[in-house]
Amino acid sequence: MLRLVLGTLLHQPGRTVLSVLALGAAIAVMLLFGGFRSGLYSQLRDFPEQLQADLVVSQAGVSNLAAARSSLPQKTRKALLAVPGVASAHALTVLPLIFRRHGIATPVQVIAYVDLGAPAELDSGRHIEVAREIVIDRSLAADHDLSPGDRVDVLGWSFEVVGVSRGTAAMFTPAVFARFSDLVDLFLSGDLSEELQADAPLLSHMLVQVEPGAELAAARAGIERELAWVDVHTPAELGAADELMGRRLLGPVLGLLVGLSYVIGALVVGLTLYGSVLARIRDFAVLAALGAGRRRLVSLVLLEALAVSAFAFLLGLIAASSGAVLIEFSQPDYLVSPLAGWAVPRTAAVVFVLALLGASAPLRRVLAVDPALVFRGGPC
Amino acid sequence: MLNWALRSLFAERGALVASSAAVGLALLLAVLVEGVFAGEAEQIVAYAEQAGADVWVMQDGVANMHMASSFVHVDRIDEVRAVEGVSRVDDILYVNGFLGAGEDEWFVYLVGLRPDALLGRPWAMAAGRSTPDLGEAVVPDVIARKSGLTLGSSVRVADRTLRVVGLSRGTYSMANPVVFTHRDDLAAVLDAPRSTSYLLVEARPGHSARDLAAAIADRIEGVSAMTRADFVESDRAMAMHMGADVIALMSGVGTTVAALLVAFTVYVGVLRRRRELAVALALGAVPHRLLAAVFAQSLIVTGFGWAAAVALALLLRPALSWALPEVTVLFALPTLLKLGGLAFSVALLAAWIPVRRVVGIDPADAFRA
Repeated sequence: MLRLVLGTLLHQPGRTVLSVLALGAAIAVMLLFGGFRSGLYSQLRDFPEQLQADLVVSQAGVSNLAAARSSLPQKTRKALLAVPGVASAHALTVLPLIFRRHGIATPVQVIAYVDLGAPAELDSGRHIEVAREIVIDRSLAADHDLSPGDRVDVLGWSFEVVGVSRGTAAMFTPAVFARFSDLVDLFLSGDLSEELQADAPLLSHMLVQVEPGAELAAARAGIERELAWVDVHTPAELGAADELMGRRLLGPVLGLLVGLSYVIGALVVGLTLYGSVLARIRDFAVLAALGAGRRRLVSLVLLEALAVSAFAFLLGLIAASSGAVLIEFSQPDYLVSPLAGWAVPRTAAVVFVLALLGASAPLRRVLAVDPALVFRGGPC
Repeated sequence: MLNWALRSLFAERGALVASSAAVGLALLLAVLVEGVFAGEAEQIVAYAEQAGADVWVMQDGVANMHMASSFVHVDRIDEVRAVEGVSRVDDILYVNGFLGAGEDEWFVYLVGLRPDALLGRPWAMAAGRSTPDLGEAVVPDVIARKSGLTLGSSVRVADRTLRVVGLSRGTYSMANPVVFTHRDDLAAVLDAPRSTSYLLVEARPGHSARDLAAAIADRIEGVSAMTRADFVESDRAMAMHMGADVIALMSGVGTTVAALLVAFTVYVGVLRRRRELAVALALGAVPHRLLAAVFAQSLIVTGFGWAAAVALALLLRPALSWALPEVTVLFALPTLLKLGGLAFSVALLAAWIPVRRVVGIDPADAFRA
């Protein structure tokens, strides 16, 4: 039977290839649309999770890293170090800015850190070592054609780009990493406008490491008890909160688009196979005339549908993966993860069910065709 | 020949319906994704567009609201009022932040209004008052519906609890839902009592917004001034980063695949009829008329598909608005025509490739086949 299936598919290779291409395109759209959604949520989750800290302290009431303004008083570090179990506390300031260069404006988040808070992964270059150095996210580097060794102006000060980071754009905003001491110098220099100084917090978060052997929960409870003006999170909690915010903001739109792509893609798969079987009804009639029974014909139709779908699914996977690479190359702000989570089994289930349904719909006509008409050249 | 083409096409109704449906579904995806993109691209600048200002005045170097903070000393308000051609000036305090509504946290634009402000207020109300007093807030009706808020409910902004006194309409977008508070409530949150963010300027009749913006920027130090149109475009360009770009990318992918599926459907349709076309040719049909007939068939299939896609999209729109009030869907005629034009062009190309081969067939071969 398998040989017969392959034989009939290869009998008209052009048509088979076209069917596979059409189905593959529909499958690629389903996976790519889902990949946009997965990638966005993943970016939001991963950015806080890469902070190399046991605990992250923010202003009371602030439970996000992305798009949230947190401001802590200067007494916070001293108070944190007095809490039993706290080994170290490192300042971190998140400052939203609009980066302008050569007429292109890009919203960025400046991450100013001390020891902890550097990007986890670099595409090129190195981490910051001395004053007036910055590491920028690769999407900012691509948008502004920057690479290690270039100099840029941020808030009127000149910095050298020494590294390009990866996985450090969240909520469509690339990060610019700088030394906290540079930010302090900038504040003290008087170069910042009075208005910006009033708005921008000098200290927005503290990254806390607990002593070896100390219980994380006990240290956390101690901080929450002693410092009434802060909230304490683990990096994973911040990641989950940022992802939740993204889901709330973008979930309805992306959910609608992903849902549409699945419904419409699935219907296209069904219709394509329906049309494909209808177009080959004469071939099935010939087989019937040669003695193929009803059961054999049904098996052949369904197996052919499954085989075409399987090839198309493979093509769809390759097309979606290649498309994701192309999109990330041309738009480095985005992470597109078409194969993430349950995307592959979910799409496979939808495709194969609809393929079988589409191929089954014209079965009655396939089985009812008069074999004699085929040889007489009559219409089927 | 055209009659024959039509009869031949309509003789196989099942195939016609299946082809048109496949084309229609592919185009429906493109139309809907494009509609979502157009809706969000418009809604994302709704506040800047609808606030009523002819000219926006802000901190020097700032050119938008999205991801921006603008701080202007309150003394600038009277200075702007004194500029020739200014009819009215209202200022707003603005910051982006989070609104707590029960268990939900919404990322929003927070706009602090003075009680007597005429510019910058919500422009349409679903319920309640449009101007909040101290301790009060006006929230988008979409947030109210999703978080179960009604007039009198409590919401949180930073460490303050505010009472909902109004539900505004048209102020929600996925990137920047606008929540209005009393200016002093927001000033306390920002700890910026002597600052304001944007001055919204109304021009006197007969004064052009562009001249007024230039005059304000020229006469008042430390501020920049933009006409509403320039400000909206500048903000749109920045706000597109906040999610709309991703929809644009998805729209591009959807349109490309729709074009591929249209091409496939038409191509297969012509292939399926190639024997009958070859016989028609053998019986004396003129090649260019045959070509015209095939083009007509392809255009009819595509036309049915396009019409079905547009009709379905228009029918689905109210259902989408009801089920997903957060999503704005906008179908613009030029976009629908552009998609139609693309579909027809692709269909003609897809039909031309196989029919060219048919025209080259020897008539005798056609009968032997």
